Amino acid sequence: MNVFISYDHRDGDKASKLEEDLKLQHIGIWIDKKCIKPGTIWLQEIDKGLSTRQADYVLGIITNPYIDSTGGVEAYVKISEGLRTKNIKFIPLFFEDINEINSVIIPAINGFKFYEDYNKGLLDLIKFLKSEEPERSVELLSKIEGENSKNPFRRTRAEFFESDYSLAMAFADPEKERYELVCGRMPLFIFGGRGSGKTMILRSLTPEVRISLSKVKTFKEAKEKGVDYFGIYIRLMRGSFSLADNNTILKLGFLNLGVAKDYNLYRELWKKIDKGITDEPIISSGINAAQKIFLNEINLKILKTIIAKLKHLQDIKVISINNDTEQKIVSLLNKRLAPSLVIKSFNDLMDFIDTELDKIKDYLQKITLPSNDTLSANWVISGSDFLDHACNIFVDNIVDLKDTKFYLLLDEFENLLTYQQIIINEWIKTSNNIVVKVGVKYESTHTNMTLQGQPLQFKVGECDEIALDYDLFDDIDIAKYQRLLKRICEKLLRLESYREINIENILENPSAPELPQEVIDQCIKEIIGERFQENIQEYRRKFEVASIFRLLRKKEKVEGRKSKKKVYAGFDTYTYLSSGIIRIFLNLIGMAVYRAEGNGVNVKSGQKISIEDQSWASRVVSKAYLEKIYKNVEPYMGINGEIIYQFVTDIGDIFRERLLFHSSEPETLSISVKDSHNLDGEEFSLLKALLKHGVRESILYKREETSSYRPKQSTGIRTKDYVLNRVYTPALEISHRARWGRCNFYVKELSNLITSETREKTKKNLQKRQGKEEKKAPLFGEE
Amino acid sequence: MYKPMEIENIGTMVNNEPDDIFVCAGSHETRCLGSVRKLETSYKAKGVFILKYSHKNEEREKHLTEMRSILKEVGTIKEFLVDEEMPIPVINEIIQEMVQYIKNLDHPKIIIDISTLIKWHLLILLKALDSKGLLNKCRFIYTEPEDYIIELFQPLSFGIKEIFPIPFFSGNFDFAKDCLLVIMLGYEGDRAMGLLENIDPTECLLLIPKPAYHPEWEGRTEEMNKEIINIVGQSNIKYIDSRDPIIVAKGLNSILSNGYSKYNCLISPMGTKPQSLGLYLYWSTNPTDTSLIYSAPLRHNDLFYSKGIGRTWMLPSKLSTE
Repeated sequence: MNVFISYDHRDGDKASKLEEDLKLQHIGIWIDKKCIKPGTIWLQEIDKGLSTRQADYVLGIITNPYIDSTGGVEAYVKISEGLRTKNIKFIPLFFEDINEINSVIIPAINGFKFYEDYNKGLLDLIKFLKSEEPERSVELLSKIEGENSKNPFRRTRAEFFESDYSLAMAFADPEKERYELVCGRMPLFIFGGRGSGKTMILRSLTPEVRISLSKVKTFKEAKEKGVDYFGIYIRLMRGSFSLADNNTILKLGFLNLGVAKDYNLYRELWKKIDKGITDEPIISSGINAAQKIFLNEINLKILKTIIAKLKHLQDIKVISINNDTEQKIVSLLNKRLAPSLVIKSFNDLMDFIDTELDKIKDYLQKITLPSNDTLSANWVISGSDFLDHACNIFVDNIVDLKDTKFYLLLDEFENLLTYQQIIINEWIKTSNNIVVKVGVKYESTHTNMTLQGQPLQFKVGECDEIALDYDLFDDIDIAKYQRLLKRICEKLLRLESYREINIENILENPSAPELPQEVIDQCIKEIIGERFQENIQEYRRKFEVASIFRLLRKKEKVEGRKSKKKVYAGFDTYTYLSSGIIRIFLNLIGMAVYRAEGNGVNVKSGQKISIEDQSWASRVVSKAYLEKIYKNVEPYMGINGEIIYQFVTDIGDIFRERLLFHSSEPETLSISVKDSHNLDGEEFSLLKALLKHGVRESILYKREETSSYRPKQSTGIRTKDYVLNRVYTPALEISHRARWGRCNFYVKELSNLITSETREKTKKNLQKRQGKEEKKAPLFGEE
Repeated sequence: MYKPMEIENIGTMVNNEPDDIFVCAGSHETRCLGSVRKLETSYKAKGVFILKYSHKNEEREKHLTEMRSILKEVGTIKEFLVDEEMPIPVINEIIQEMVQYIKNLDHPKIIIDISTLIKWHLLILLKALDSKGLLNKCRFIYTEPEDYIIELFQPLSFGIKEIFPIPFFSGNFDFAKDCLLVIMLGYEGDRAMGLLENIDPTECLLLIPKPAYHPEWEGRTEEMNKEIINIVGQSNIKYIDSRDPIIVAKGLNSILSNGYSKYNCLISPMGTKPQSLGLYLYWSTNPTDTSLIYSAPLRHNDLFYSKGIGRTWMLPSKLSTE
């Protein structure tokens, strides 16, 4: 929903408060305002203000100064005519007594009273706007992903698959080189945003999925087909460990150093930990103690998981372990854990592990609560090489596992604290019998240090890394990505018995631009002049999309224009919109199927999804993803979802201005930071955190440097580029392509954009910089 | 007393003897004054503990002023400033102070108004009371709001500040098991949805409070949680009592012992405060299998929050699952 606030310059504070209050309610996406200067006809100003975006509603802050700017009775007549003919939905908000308003027309229009009780007026306005809102995008998306949905693309996450078998049937491995790294013996960090497929890839390495994919029944048979690893999938969820909060770390520190409890010191140290300051003696002592406890906890939990997995596979006859083998394994493990105890079976061992874990939990609870019990830390101590040793025992003694390697598949690595990640790094560096594969979001590895104090060495034989998101600026990557998408869709459609399983055939492809070529060409000529004739194809490539946007937004009639909405349809377009993230693509396709089937199209029997339905789906999914920013993104280093949302919409407005007015490179999705070295300054820490958090959440992407991006001279400064996720482009009304063109910013400008005092002025200046001022249009345009 | 009892007046636990401690929390919600305004004129307590949260709020300051003026006639007031993000030290301090006031630890006379305590703080307070052997000896009071301004179905809060396991309430998370997320729903659908999106459980159960506090409130929870209900599905909705902690505990036991033992169970309290009491009861009998998780909102939607003071209840004082 677009809401536009019109006000007299003397009522600026009222307009700002109203804007703020509406934004706090998130009732619409676009809220903009236009100040009416004295002596101007306010609808003319509204007209100008609406030049870059269609508004659903114009809210007028009605005071007598506002009315005085209309300029007499003749203006009134013209205004009422304009309201009628232009179908501008104008809602007066009465900030002065209706009976005192110097106008006949305005009080006659239905509006809301703010002068008696501001909050009541606000509530009534919100109620009206809410009632006019179409069904919420996030709600529509939830219908597709819902449990009762029959949509073939409802399973957008690994967790949505009912069994390992169905997961295996839907799994499509990425291209050969990438998947070889995943399956290979090198420890690996798999970076990817939400929905990029990290969990699917890690789970594809587990014995159950491997057996399904190999179409065999036992692990031994899978080995004969080339499977030489045994994957244990572990999801490092929040809450999966006892130790994950500052309170316990501090208590351990106070305890270890024998420091008396002091609440003020406690608060001060808590804030330091939050800022990442850990070199205070109490904090570092607490972290050391916490690390030792965590190491024991994670060793025991993973050991228990391995044993549970082996038992389960034994029960379903995937592997074979006889009693003697079991006893031998338990005995060897026990020598390391608790030599004085007699433990004879897997079940006994698991019970023992539970007892030890209870001791740890109990201890941690007692040190932080007032308790009458005495404290004692008397659980088994296992070292950093314990799991390596344990896995060696399993492989040496279980015949079916001979010549295989244990793969520890650790998902959601970002949920570990820094001192916890250090332990995993240690395993990566020093293990001989386990290979660690880590699934993690971008910018979420807090450290590359190990327990020994040495850093992990990437790409030099110690460990490797891959990024799952595809770079849509690279033609080769696009081709790989599209192949993967087609394979995934094929599998999902086949699972649901769709007749047509080639996704390209299901989506109707726009065969021509949405406007006649000659009309577009004329617009291009208006931008660049007669040079157009010199290289028509090149200029079309560069300006066609921008021209279409400009022609679509024109108020006056445009030849061949059937709708003012941009088309977003076709397999290629959906590829781009998904920004290289599989889940987004599945959401787009799922929504398109939903819409088409709602319109009576039998997609299952092979009927195509129309361009209109695809465009509708694009806009809904785009809006849903935009809304999810402020709803679901957790804060990081002072940056929360609402701040990022505002930043994204402001950048979208700036990019849109460029699209509509720039005369050489109108299309862009890149925030190009010219003086990126300044990001390290203390005063810009919030901006730096925003950019980092945006990358973590796949709202922004760091663009890899290519030769075309390097400065022309060796003395030129390299910029840092952040690309906006393309899924937002339909909602932001900008181009999803943007293969070239960078919008340059200075660090200070971006920082001012996220500072409330300087935001509005900075945004206006940045928008102005994107293009020339539009020629003044007549009051209501000409048909 | 084994059932919640609606009360019009609050008197001392023993006639003509002051209670040991009266505890209440200041809030922007008017119902924080519910119990205070219902104290009998003769009500006395040796100690009055007022909890106030650290972030500034005009409405809350107004309510605190009234609270102080009433409670200064009741007993010696001690105020505790609670940091929303790190409540544990203050809760510890409250417990230590309580012990000083209690004449007879076997029969303490403590009244705690839980109406406006933040739910995860309430759970930690209950744990702290339990660790001192005081839990089953307290009286808990709860005041409903008169109503919520939700006819517009705007959320009561926006965004997510943090999702975290509630300290002291983590079970023995087993990596060999899948994750079951149980959300006790309230009126904050976006918050519930955010929790689901961030946790990504294998299974999810939604617990809707029933009956609603008032007949005309029936259906609100479903309306406010449309999105998550769409995703999770009607078949994963269960109903659970809204007001009686003992029935809530029994209800949780009945639901979760029915085929869900193969999961790591994460429960998130987003429903009513009495439900949070019941959740504590349930958790205390199932500490290894269950973890409690909390989704703190980024900001509350003050325009649409609760209004007025509704009924006040004395919740069962013998908090056990017998």
